Amino acid sequence: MKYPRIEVRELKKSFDDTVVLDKINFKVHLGESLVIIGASGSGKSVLTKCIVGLLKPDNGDIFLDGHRLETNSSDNTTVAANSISYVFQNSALFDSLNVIQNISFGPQLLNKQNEKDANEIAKESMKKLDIHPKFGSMYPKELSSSSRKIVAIARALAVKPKIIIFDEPSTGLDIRASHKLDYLIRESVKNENITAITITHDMNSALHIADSIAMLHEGKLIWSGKSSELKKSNRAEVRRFIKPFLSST
Amino acid sequence: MVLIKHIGRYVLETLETTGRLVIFFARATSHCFRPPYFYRLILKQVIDIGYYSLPVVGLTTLFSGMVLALQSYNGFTRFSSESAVATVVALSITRELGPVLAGLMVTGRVGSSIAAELGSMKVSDQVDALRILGTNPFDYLIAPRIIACIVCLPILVLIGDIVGIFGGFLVGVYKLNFNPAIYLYQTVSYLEPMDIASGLIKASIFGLLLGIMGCFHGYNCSRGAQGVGLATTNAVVSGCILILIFNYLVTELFFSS
Repeated sequence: MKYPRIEVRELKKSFDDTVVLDKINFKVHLGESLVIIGASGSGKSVLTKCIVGLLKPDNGDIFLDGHRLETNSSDNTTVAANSISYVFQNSALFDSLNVIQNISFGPQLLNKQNEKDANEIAKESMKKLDIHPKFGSMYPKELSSSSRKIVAIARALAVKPKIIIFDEPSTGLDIRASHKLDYLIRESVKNENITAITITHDMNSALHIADSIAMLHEGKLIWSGKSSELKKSNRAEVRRFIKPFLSST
Repeated sequence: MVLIKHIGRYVLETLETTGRLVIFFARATSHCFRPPYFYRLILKQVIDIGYYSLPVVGLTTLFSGMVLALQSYNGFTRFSSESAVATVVALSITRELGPVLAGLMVTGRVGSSIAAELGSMKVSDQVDALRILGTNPFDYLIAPRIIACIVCLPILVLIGDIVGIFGGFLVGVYKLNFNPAIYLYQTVSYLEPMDIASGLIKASIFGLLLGIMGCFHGYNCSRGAQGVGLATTNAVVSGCILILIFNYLVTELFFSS
């Protein structure tokens, strides 16, 4: 029996009395790119942080290739680290390390490669994403925000994950940089044959990246399906969310 | 009624913070004693915390030793006991002033920097990024800093002791016209190994305290620049207060009889 690459079942998460995620269910298959859309505060980031193990869900299960992921490790380190990479909204590159050291960090510490091999992997990862070698010795503070995001993607890809999660990749970027990033995400997913989950509220990005789209509204998954079917949805919340995009195209 | 409510809330918050601090202390110290050890990071912290604190500790103890020699000379002339100046300077520096002043100065310099660095990493998701990359922040960020604090403080205090006694010697010989040989003889002859050892043990404890407080406040820092600022202040204030409290407790333990 072929399992989905990742499956979320009945996931619930609350902070104090506020329900942030309410019985979320979805599946993503190998090589599929799922985009999760929704307004700010709809629970998108909380959902992906639960998947990767940074937050512990109150209820529900997450399965990776049919195996249930444990998310309550005593040291709060994610047990999914070997399989899931995460690209943070603000890149979250390590300030004290240069670009090569940032990218080789995962191969060295997670995949237990020696320093030389890890550096080779980092250089290879930079090449794939078209990062000029001169950036290798630069520190994150010396890079533009779009370059930082590309380096963050290179760092995430360097550990050869099964799944990669992008948290608002195009936030804070101009249209050109945003398109370039969308293209890189799409190409990376295709070339590496990995499964991608992307959070965004940018419909242009979503349609460019997605094979399928899921929409969160007030902690509930209110719509999911092929990206081409989104415009045909009759749900009022979906229509309201995509209306500005439809009127601009 | 409102007053009681406020007091109750304050008590509960204090208890909660104390509980979190105790759990953090247990986790942090346990990670200092188990692999993986990031030797390169420990060495980097030793240089940052130890080497770069040398000037501030040296200057503080130098001038404290000089002032102590002057003040004790002025006081002791009233009892015609000027000859005790060298001994008093040596004992005061090794037992008390060396460890306490070094502890407080290093807390100001290092405790604040640890809290600010970890706080910035926390608010910019770098700590979460570490976890995603399968690295425990307690192994990678906290243990190296605490180990470096525990190792560096006694070394700084030992150097501070020597510099402080030298400061007293300078004032004693060049300002108060003591005979250099007699001053040195009186410094050495009344100084016992336990005087120096107790100061170094205190220094290790102070190193642990300032490391823990810097890491605790930085690691638990709330969002935003304001959170980082608050964490830095809290790390320094709580570190200094704990050093003064533990100074009394350790002194009581060593010298109460």
